[in-house]
Amino acid sequence: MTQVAAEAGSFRDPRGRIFHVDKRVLRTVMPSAIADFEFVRASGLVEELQSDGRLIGENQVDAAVLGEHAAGASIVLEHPRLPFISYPYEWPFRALQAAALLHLDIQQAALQKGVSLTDATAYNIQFAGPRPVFIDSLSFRRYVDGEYWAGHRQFCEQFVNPLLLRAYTGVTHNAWFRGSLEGIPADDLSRLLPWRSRLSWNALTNVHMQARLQRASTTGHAASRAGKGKLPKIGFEQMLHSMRKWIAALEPKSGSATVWQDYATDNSYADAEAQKKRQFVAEFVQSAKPALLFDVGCNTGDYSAVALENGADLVVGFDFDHGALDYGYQRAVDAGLNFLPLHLDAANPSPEQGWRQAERMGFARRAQGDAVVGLALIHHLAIAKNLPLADVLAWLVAMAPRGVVEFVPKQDPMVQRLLQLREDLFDDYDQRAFESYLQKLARVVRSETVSSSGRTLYWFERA
Amino acid sequence: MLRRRAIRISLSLLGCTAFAAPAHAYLDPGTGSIILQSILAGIAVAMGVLRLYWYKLKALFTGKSAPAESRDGPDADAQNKS
Repeated sequence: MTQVAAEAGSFRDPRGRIFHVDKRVLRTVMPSAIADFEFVRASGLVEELQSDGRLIGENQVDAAVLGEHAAGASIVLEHPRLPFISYPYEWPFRALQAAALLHLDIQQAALQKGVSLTDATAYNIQFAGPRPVFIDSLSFRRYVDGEYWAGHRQFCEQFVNPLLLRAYTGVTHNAWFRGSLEGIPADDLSRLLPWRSRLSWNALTNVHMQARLQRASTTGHAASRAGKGKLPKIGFEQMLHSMRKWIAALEPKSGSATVWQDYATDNSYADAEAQKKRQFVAEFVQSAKPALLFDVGCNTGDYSAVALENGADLVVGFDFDHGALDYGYQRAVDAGLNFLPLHLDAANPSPEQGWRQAERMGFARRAQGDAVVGLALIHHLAIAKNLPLADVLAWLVAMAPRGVVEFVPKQDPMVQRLLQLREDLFDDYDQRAFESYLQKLARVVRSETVSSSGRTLYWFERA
Repeated sequence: MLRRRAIRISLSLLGCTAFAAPAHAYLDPGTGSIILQSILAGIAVAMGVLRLYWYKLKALFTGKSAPAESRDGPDADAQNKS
């Protein structure tokens, strides 16, 4: 008997729901949605957006696959399964910006076909490598002349405001967004942005004015009056056009280069060492042929690129440093790499959260790949973050059945730098302990010392 | 003719706050956003009127007729944002 599981994050719109059956992803379309569903598909919009990959594919399937869960549904659709789900609070600035532009492009293309979007949630966008893809094919409905942009507030909270936070203040959106799953309210942001932001027409209206109007209109009377207006189509188009131009031009506030941005060139590694590491990773990937490889501590994606060149289909990278992530994301776009760098604080990964603590999946539940690479990582967790070495290894090895992990000994200049201003409490941090912990978790296929300081790579396979 | 178009546009500006067009969504669009959108719609219409007068004035001197309506409104933002 196959198990049908309702997707815990799909409940807000009663016009349809996502279900998982084994590895298949299915969507019910309820009778309340069917008129819009047919109108939108007849408009040619869905076909247009699917043809260049901006919208996820869909196939109508026999409703029997969902058993009793299909009761009442008019249609059941199947979507291709995405190899990895990520959330806006894990995206680097550039990825959130690309997602925002995709949303606007889709809304603009939709309007031309007499279609509009019901909402503007960032969770409706996922990534195929660095390319954003819209995944909610039930978000479309017939446009009614004169209607407001229903998703405007949500678009501001989930895309615009988080981007503005970084663009104006240099503060990244990730921690705030993670704590506030619906994004950053205009009222909060309005209090934080510098005064000069009022010189920007778009920031003035979308942030400051919206916040003020929202504050001034807490009475039911104002709400009922507000609902009686009309936004001419030309006004709607103008808003989208102006918003798109504005967002495309946003840049993270420039400050000093972040710690890791120049790491690939400016580090304590000799070139020969990097060459050995590349060779080791290349051989591992050629043997493992992973569909999904995790590069934990990916920095700007050097070894992710090596993995992709050697047969990995998709690399999802994780790093703590926003400068490195932005750089890595741009590199993936420019070089056409199927690489998605995401923000991760390994000492505090994304939790299970949202409604019933199930709406958005935690990191551990999603971090199941075919291979994992953790280079120049262990010392940052075991020493800089005081995480027990055995636990760090167990965490990493649990992410995939095989992988490569690097041990960085205490005498290495990088570790010495971490210990410079603090007491060395790490008695078990040595190569012998490392090997014994790793061997309890997996079989070591190969190991190679790659630097004069004694850095060693281990290729492991879980038993 | 200019006056008649101006009156028509002004009437449609008034119309912006007169006719009901409910937001067809399960999402609460937010009062602040809706009022803001009415204001922006009003500004867009007002700019249309001004633009019309401007072209008419220019036409008086150059003898050329007004071009088709441009969609570029107040979005000179890239310059303002650093």
